Amino acid sequence: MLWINGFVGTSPTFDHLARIVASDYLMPLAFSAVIFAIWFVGRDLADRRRYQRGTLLSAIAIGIANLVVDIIDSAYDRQRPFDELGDSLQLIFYRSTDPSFPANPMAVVFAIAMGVWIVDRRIGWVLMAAAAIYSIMRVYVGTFYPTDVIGGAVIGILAALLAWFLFELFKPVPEIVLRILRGIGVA
Amino acid sequence: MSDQIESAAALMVRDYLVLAFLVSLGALQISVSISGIRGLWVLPHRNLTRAFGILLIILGLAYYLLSPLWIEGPWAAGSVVDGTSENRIWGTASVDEISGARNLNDIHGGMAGTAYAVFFVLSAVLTTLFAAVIGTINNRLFPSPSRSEGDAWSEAITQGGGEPTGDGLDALKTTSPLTTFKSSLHNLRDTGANDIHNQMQSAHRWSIPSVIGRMWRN
Repeated sequence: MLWINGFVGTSPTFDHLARIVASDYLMPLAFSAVIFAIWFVGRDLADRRRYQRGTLLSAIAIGIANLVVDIIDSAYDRQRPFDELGDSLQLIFYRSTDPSFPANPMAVVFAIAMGVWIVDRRIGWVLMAAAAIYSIMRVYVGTFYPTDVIGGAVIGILAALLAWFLFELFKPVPEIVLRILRGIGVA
Repeated sequence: MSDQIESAAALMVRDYLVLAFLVSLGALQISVSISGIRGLWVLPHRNLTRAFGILLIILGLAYYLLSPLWIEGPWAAGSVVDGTSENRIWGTASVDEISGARNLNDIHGGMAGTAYAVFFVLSAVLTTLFAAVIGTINNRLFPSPSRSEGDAWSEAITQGGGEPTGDGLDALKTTSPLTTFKSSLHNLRDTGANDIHNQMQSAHRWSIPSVIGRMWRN
């Protein structure tokens, strides 16, 4: 943790970049835009339906991941690194007040990345890489421990797998939902 | 103090809605230009639509990141050189603070994670409606687009006046959103029950809807 955060101040340009990449708005917005955009891609109906399943899968995975994070947060209140490490840490982000473990933003972006990976490996890997960079930046700016972001990533990935399992268990409900949405012209 | 936090929250919500609207509209335009869903194009040509989508995303990010330079707000302060981060009094941000100016905790007027999600969904819905309205107007203004693009729209017009060839987003390749809505609803009424019945038949034996269906019949 201190090793990664220890590079703060080495390159002001990189630090500016890190504050933007680690923000609450940029990466979550980019990931949301991707799952919104893939709703409309696909060469034909079958192809589009596959991507639309990815959007639904990711949305349900986000819900599951948030629920799991909330449950863990209510049972285990790990302090933030800037509270525990004090002056040995260089914080270039705001002082979050919620528990450090597991990292909620990581749970969300990995849930989306895994949800997309299930339907399209290529886009999924790109999102996984972006989620990994987001995680490293959050540790770099001093707001999470590495174990927090790893915990969040594991929860996100498992949430997407659970969502996929639920899709199979409740088949054909997702297909019926998509058929109804197609009936009003939006799928 | 609480008034200031409320004003800060309103400012953050307004700016985030602008960002989310521009980014989601940009992403939509790129996506529909790739898949050829002409009914949602804001501009009448594929390449223009894609370029416009990229421009919207850049504009949205530029506005969100740079506006603290001239808009007064509760922007976060602190220098990356000193490795500090702090909340500041109401005002404009300096160039050195701009990268972290929007990094505000929700207790200081920033937005909570749930709010980001809710406002993005709202923006996505507004974006789709906006593109549908513009797409309908486009359909009226440019009924015969360039055939050199060779997409479904041109083919449909060549074959017979742009009648819908399917429903849902597929129909939007050849017709306007308004026509697609009517034909999709018509198709849903005609074939929806049958489609759903077929889906139920194709579900595997141990899926929960199948199990419930069997219990219901017995």
